[in-house]
Amino acid sequence: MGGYKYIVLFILTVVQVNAQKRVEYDLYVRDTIVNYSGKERKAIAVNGQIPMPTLEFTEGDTAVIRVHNELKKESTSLHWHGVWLPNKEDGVPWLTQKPIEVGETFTYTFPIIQNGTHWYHSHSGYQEQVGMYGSLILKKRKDDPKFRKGIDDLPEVPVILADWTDLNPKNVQRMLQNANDWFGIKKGSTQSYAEAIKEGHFKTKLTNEWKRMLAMDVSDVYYEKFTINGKNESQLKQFKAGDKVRLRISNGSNSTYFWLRYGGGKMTVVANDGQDVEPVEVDRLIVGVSETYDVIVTIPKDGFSYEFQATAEDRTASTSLFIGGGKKQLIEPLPKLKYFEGMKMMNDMMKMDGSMNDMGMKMSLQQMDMNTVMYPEISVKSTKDSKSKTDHNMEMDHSNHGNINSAIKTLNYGMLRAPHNTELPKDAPVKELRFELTGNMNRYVWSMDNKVLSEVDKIPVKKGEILRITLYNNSMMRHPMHLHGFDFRVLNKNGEYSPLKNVLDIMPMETDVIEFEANTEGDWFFHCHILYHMMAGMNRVFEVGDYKNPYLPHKEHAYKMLQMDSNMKHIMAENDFATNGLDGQFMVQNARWVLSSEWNIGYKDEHGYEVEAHLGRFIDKNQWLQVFVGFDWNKHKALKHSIEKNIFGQNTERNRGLFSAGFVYKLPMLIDFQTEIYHTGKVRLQVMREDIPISKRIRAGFMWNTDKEYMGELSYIINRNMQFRTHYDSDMKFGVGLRLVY
Amino acid sequence: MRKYSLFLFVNLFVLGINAQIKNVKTEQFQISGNCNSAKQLIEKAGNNSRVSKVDYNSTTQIASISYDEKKTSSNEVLKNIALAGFDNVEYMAPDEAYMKLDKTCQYARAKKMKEENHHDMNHSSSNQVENNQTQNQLDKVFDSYFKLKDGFVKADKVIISKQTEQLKQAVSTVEMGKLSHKTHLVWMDVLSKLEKITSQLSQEKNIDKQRELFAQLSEPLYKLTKVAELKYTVYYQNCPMYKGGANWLSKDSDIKNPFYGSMMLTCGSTVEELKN
Repeated sequence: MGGYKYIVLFILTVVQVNAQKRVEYDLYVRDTIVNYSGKERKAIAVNGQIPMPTLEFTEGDTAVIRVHNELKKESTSLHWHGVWLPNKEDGVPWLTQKPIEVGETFTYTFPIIQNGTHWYHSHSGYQEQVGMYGSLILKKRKDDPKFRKGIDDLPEVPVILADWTDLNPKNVQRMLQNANDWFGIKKGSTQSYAEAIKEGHFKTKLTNEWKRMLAMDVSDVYYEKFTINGKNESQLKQFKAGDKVRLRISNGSNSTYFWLRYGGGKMTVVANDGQDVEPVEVDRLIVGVSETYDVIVTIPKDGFSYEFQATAEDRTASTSLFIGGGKKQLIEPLPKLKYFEGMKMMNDMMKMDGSMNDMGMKMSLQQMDMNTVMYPEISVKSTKDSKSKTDHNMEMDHSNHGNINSAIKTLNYGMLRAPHNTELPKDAPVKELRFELTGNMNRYVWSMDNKVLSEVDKIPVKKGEILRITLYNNSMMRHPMHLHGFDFRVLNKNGEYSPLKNVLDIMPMETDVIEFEANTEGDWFFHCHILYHMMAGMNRVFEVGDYKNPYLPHKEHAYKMLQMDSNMKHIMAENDFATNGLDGQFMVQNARWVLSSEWNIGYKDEHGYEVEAHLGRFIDKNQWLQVFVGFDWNKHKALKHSIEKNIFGQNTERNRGLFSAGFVYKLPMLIDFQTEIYHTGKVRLQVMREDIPISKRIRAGFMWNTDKEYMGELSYIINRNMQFRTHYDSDMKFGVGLRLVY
Repeated sequence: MRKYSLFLFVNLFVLGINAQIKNVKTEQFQISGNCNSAKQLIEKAGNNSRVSKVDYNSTTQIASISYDEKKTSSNEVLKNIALAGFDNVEYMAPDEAYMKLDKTCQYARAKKMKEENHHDMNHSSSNQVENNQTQNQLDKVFDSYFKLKDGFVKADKVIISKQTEQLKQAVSTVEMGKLSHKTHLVWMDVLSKLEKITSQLSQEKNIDKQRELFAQLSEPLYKLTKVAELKYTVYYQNCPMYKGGANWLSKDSDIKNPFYGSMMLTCGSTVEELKN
């Protein structure tokens, strides 16, 4: 008996010795200037570098990380993505701590109780986009019974992917919310009528606009550069033929999914989101925003350096890591997307009421990738060019090309299998939740169950409860949904061996089920990791137990601050300096409200002027219906008729100020139908459409109303702030001008 | 004085050539390429207005690259040239890009191309089938149907036309007398349909129309599968998108949709498993 006690005591000491190993880092956050694209831009560097330094720990260590905010103006924070830790160390400003203010030092301390590939990033504003991301590698202990020989003992390289834009990310968000299609022009994805006709897809485009959809794309932002470990291209010369290398890949980008391919043969996926999976060999895989994958590659021959390539999902550009000494062997780039094929598919899936129809296909776990219709390397090569060859040759050709879908093995979540049983305790109470992912491309409002964070309370969860969440994506974009503080099981065909993850990529129309045991108290963020979706409000908070956070004594106030951060007001303004007058508008909007003002001011008295101001609120989930109250002021010295009638025989009531109320409804073909009633009883109906994409850079627009006013316009987009515009207006007649847009 | 004028001369020369490129730097690189159009292709791939300019000499195989140091690097220019199919000091062109070059442009590469040993990929399976011929009268019909379906999956016109003929022939050579009574009844029911569809199929050249016809084959063959006593499991699969929903039969439980070719390959689901 005494002997037993001795052994128990001994084991405890060993554990304690191990746990007492403190690994400390000091991180200095400073403003910096970078040059990724030939232009100098502001960014943030930590310890003088972008990405932030790779932090390494071994399971059992205690991490001590001191963050020194030496920025000039902004507060900051650091979130440990995928790490299980006490809630107060999680690094979400106003949810788990106060922002780290300028000049302050904040110390994060937490025990490392897991292993795997993770990463860390700022959770404040758009700092992640401008440099605050880095790899976080948690190593397995050598004596870990789960140590995998041939995998965990390989040489390893942290690989962190990122996207860089020369624009200020706040401005990117503003442009997205104003449905500015400048990014589409930069990416060559305008999908205008001219392009549609050229590709024989006029009807497709027409149907698309009939269903009130804007140009479709797989991503929203144009990026100047994509990088691996901060560089567009780099080489690892130290590896030789036969070497196996484990790449610990994190997608630290803000809104870019990457296709990963390797020129030296197949890749073996051995872990995902920091959790081991049974090795699976693939030709390519897509890594969602904020996901991590561990992949093993082999160098087949000496004398060549094999390309490991990450291509943005929209295929505008890529970034590469060359592995091995010698000449760099390139991979053929992925061909451009066939956007109109995608549009056609979207048309089929989109119902008139703006919701998606999966046509009875039970889609889940990335297994049925609808985007495939846009991939030229997978769709069939026409057999025309090999007509002259013999029958025999042609068959050979097909097996060679490898561009038949079945020949390219693509990873999906159905193929992930945990090496151990991941089932949750059977006796624990289960709480079932269902979220529908919703969105609105036209106004760039992203939400869950049609509500943004600022419209909902925290979701209370009892400690120890199992949360089983069904997610259905009823929006047109894919979303990488990330849960803080826990790994969840993604229920797939592997049953009790279902894989564990902390990010779930969910494609349009997919339904996935995840579950986890809520056994750590605190407020845990659950959100879409596309930064611009998160900032638009696609977030929820799980409040597990009754957690007292020493950093946030006033939790209600803090939550209000968090809600405010995810529903910021944004501004749009434009004015046409034309030969016949000034035409312009100004708007302040958030997820539901819009305050706008429009003006037409003639230089001459007989042209008159007109100014309208509206305060409106969007009512329905598609945001097609807006009700508003307003005030109009117009003056028009009509030369001959002093009284004008509208088509209902009412006076048009020129030359005075009028209060009004009304609504705007978006009709098919994206036409705005507006009904306005003035305090004098006068009614005005109006139809209007702006931004009809005629060609890549030419837009048309028209307006007509029951006051017998009309307008037609054509504009040419010079750059994101300037348009050359010509228009004809019933009041001000013909004009040519330069429109400035903000 | 002489030195000075030489310096001036060089300066003028550089300015003259690269008037539009700022922060210019010029370097020489070896690039493989031996045909007349190589010069044109290489320069096109490397030129970028106001950023880089390439001057290639196909006899010496040396390219002189001038570029704006602040906007690009020689590496970036060389990469674009390699992507157009030309190996150089830094990069090896992708095999696909090299193969796309005109035959006369395909210079001798320093590296061996991948061995193309796909000789027996498509043929082994067909031989096999021919060897263990018809124990079951309907085997041949199903075999050619499945191969035809695979042809549609790959959108391979050669396989489609070949297997259409095979199917047509298989349908016509079934010896009804040797069928079991139950099978016989179903066979009589579907025969005229099969004959009609297969003959239309063999006349049709447009793959989209062929697919419509192919879709009509599913129902008669489904009936037949139920009684045919095949030695393998057949999966009755459905694509809800094609023409308001269409079915097909497969020996494989994985979905490989024949109606869209590889574009929508995995669209669909198994409706019924027909075990025999």
